[in-house]
Amino acid sequence: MPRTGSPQLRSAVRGRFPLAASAAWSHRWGALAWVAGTGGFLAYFGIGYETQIRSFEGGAAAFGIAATAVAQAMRPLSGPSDRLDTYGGYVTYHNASLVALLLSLWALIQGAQAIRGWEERGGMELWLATGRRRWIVVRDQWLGFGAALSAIALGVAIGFGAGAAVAEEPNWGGAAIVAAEIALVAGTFFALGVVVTQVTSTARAGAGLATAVMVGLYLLGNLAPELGPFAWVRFFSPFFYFQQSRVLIPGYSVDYVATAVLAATATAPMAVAILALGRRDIGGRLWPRDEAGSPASTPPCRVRIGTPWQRDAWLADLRSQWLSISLWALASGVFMALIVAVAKQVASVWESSDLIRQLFVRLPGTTFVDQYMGYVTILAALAPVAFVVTEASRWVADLGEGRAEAQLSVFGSRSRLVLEWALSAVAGIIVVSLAVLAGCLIGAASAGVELRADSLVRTTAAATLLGSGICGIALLAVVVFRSGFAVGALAAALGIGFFVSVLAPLFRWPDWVVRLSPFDAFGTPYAAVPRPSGIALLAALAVIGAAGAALVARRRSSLS
Amino acid sequence: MSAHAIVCERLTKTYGAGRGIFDLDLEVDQGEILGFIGPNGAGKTTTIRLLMDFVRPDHGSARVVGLDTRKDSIAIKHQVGYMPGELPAYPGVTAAQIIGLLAAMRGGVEEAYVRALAGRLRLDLSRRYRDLSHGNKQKVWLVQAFMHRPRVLILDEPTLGLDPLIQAEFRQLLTEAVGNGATVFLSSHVLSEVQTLCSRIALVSEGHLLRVGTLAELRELRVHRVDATYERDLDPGTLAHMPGVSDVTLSDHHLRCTVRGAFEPLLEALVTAGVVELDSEELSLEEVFLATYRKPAA
Repeated sequence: MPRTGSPQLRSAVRGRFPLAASAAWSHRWGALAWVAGTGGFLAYFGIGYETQIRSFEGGAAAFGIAATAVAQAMRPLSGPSDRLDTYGGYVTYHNASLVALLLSLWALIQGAQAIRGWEERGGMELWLATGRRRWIVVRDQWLGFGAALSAIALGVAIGFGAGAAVAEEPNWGGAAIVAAEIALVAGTFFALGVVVTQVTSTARAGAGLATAVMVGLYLLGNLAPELGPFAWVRFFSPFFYFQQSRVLIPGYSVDYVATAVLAATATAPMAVAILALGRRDIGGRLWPRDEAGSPASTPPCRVRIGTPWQRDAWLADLRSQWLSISLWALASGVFMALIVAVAKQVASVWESSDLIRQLFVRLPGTTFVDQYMGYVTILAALAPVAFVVTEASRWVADLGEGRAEAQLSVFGSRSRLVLEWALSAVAGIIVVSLAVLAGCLIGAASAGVELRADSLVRTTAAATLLGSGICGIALLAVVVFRSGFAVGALAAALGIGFFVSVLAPLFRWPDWVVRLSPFDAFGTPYAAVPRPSGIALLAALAVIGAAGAALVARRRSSLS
Repeated sequence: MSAHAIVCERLTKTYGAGRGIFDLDLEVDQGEILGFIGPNGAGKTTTIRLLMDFVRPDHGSARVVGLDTRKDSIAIKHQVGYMPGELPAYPGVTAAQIIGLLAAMRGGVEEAYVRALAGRLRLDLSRRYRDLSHGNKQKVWLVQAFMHRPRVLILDEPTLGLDPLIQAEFRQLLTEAVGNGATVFLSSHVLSEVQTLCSRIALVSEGHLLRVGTLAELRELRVHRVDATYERDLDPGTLAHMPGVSDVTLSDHHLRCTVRGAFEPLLEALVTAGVVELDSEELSLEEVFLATYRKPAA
């Protein structure tokens, strides 16, 4: 006899804001990953900072001077800095902007899925069929995400606050305000995701477009002071308003106007989205194509069979993703071009600082530009790695929405499915890595920076290998968990791994901790050949991960 | 109060390339089950989405329970049970959570009635939706369509994937709903389902309504398949120009053809040819349907 007496039915039927509660519940794993990952990391950062200051020759003041020189040179990437001799100043400069950027990226993807994604999955029609108005559906999705974002902000606030307490600068109020500001920035990009997908025909295309806009706004907020008469463009960037209330820094207070602007940018776009949704068809475009003059019957369409793209499933897969991969390549290339274009200015700042000259012992035959490139090409690794995370998300969707089964019905073997996924992803990784290389060359050419060809080739190869290694882990995670949890866990693990590799030398963490991060295996390939053990580890992750995924896929009773 | 539960007047929605629904004029009486029949791509789902105000008409209008589908969309939905043609994807939740969410959004749904519906359709509410078979997923959407005892049921291909026992239970549910005064707009391409359920049938093809009528009225379109054996000669030219006779095959004093309408001219020709055996079989509605939509070979 079927079980119809589920307690879940009773609790759900009696909910007061059912759709908002359902939306909040759907974000539970993501929120948990953010709270645990970011909150824990920020709290631990306080301990590391305290240790670092104690051991730094000259104490906090000397550390502040050294760090300020670096921070000023890196202004376009990480925003303004002040009072780096304090935990509040250092954590605001080092972490707050980055957390805001990463959380915004996640929020943006959730925003793209909140309305358009549910239209694609068919849920929107059912919600509307219950008699809810379209604007109420938008409002409830927004409220649900807002609840999840509030929980994340609480975790971030505890992380900042605990870190400050450990560093003997207790400032729980400031931590709460910074966390709230971060939530407002993320809320802004959630709203942007919702709005952009009103115009695009799919959630995925909307997320890609909105991500490009977000990266542009981030750079705009940071680069604006360098733009002379055009410095006013900073007012278009939410990150600029976020940077106005750096209350963890001693002596800073809340900028209420900037906060009000952020609150407005997090809410006003929802009104635009509501208007747009009210005007268009569910599942349709805001501006449908004018096809009034189309013939009354469909003309015969030629079905091409045996084209080069159809030779293998992974090639067809790659072709279907050309827009997404192109956007990734474009964004990564532009980002690297901008970073490389400022190499000379950064190197000159470094060179003029006695402390930095003491800090960075140059290898014979290398320049400060080389050292700068060695540092920034670590960021080059992030592009293919982030691309793999989106691939993992796509594989989960393929499993959940029946596309994987359709593919299996064609070529039968689950291991083949995993292999096709892997091949398609690696091809995408190569394209993104080459775009990073192209970005470096374009940035160098435009600013007259001389780069070492062998180092660039090495960096591109290492970035491809790192992406492939992460791809192996991602494949395994997807076939084991078969849900969005795999993507969330992968993203959280990679985020923590990146921070560990960057901060471990600073905080003198034990070697075995550092070795846990795949980014440590990547090393700094522009400056030096990666360790053989690192190369072997990444290659092993790629091969063993894919093989393990194929094995698990074959043994599972069901892949869906 | 109008006697029609659903009225479409010149309802048009075009997607280009001849796709959509064009100038649909249709009335569905209160308490009837109307079968909305047509091949894939005929415009059935577009019509349903127009009635539900998911898409907006290019021109024309529609009313459900006397209310305009554009202006009174919310009021209509409170009185309508809707089942989509495509199975929605709902990751990470159980059937109970989905139905519970939709019931809570709608309000006024009795939990006991939901359980009763699930029991009748043999749906295990505790299972994860993603793990359900196609047929069981279909049951989830059937339960949510019936759970608030709607005045109008708009169902898009409702029995796809259901086993015969559950199909019988579904027919029983429909009969009970109609007995309680509900009106049913049922889109399908399964004619056997329509033949047993519907009081009237609307045939639609390539976005145009071809014909509406009761089952008996549509049977006036009836077509017979004729097999005859005769002794003398039968002129193929005469048969070719005979009204209502088509698909003629002649071989070794044996005739096979289909006849629409009057039999007299064919019988006269067969008597002249010395008919020795005659067999006539009426085509099923399905075969009539196929004959109606069959395009001449290119």
